[in-house]
Amino acid sequence: MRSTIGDFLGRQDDAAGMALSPVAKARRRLVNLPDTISEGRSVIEAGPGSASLDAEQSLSRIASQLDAKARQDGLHRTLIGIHRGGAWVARRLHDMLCATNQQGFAQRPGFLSSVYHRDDYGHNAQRRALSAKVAGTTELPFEVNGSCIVLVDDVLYTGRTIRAALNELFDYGRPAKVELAILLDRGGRELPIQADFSGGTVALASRQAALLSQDEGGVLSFSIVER
Amino acid sequence: MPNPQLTANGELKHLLTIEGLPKALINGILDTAKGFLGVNTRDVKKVPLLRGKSVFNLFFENSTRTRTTFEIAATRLSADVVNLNINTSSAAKGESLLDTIDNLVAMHADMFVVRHASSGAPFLIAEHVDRTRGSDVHVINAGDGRHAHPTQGLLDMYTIRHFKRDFTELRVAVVGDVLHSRVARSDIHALTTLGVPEVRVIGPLTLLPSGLEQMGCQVYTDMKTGLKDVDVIIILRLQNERMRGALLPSAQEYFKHYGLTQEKLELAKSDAIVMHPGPMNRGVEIDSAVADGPQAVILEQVTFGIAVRMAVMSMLAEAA
Repeated sequence: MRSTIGDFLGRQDDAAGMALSPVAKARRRLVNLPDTISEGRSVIEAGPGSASLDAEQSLSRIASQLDAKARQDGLHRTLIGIHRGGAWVARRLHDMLCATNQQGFAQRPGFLSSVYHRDDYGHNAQRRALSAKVAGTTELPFEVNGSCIVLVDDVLYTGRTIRAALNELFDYGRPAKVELAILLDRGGRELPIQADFSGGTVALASRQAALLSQDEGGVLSFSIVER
Repeated sequence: MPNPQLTANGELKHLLTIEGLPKALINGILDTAKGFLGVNTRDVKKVPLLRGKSVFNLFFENSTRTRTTFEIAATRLSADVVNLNINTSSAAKGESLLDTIDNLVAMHADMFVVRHASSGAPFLIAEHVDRTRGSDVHVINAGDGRHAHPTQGLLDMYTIRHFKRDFTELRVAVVGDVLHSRVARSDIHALTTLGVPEVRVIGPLTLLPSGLEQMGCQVYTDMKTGLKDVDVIIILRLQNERMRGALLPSAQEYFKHYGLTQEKLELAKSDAIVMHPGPMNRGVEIDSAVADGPQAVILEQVTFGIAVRMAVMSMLAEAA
């Protein structure tokens, strides 16, 4: 049973005065559509805390944070999205950032699969996750050595995926700096890992999972799934 | 009877033969291999999936190449690899196969890669470790007698999928010494499982086993008709070392009729690929001009073979 949060959280602030992309315009039309949730038993109440479950709003937030940081330190940053949700976020972020700060974010994003470094491998978890179809493949078509990397993921939870992703990244070289951008921080960390750029925080029970999905227009939305 | 290669959940526990493997599982292995292909081209050609595991290469029959590819695959997964050349060790002193296995299991082996001249030897070992060790020791068949060579079959499927995409529209010819070829058997089972509508087998009658039609093949003894309009040509090695008695007049005679020359290759589709499991006998089953020509994908097979073996090993290690 899943409910699409983005559908009934309609507000959006145009962060940092960024021009509306065609995708954002499409989304505006989207959220004006009638509520499409047919089942009455939605899991999450649309309270003050769940505003951060609006994926598009969170996207704008981390874009403006990144933009501000880049203007401040003048570093050129390369985004790397962690498959699969993080890859969608990285692509959208790159489009948004290029529109406002071409110099800071010119490099096209890379993509990274954390699956070969997972710590739950062989422990009865993540069955068949090794398949390239499910896990995606690492593509870093730029020099990792000495570059300034922003790892991008959709949800930050235990921190284990980020630990695995860092190991994968370092198999390709030694970056000068690695930062972490997260669309949604749901707490529950099991490792000393925190986000540098965060779209929002929400507390979820361990039986719940926040799943990011993307429609044909590239518009992102979160849904909450009970496990 | 349940498939002895699979766990109760349908996961791959041992890889003994392609025969009887579900199509989805074969595709899953190929999809997994696709990811590992990238691991082999990066700066650090190693991932930690099999860290701390011990893989024992048990080669009761010599094969430098296959053993090396398994060794490379295992080390790129961070396993420790022990190579045992049994020809020159305990078996020569009279130890039985299963006693050898028990000793190695007592040394905490996690995976055996077995090549044996007798068909069924890896089955025997798998059955034995299942009985004595539960599910924590895995067996990969690296070629048993004339029976099966499943990782070669899988890497051949990976190669075909890489160049031809859709199995369901292909005409594939397997050419040569099918009688002695475990590669041919594994290929034929894989091709039919993956839905290839036309699998042809071409060779002299003395080198074709009976029962090929029951395996879903069309049998040809003439290259001219057999190669007509095929998409994929799999050339088999002429296995002189396995031949007993006069199956062929001479290698020259064989080359004249069944050796793949440019002229014969032109009967196939213009974009047909030429495969060979290696090691090649140039001038016997394949002409040098074809082996080095633009349609040959023989070295790509070798590259894909590492990724496919990494996929199999990592999937076995995950099964429980």
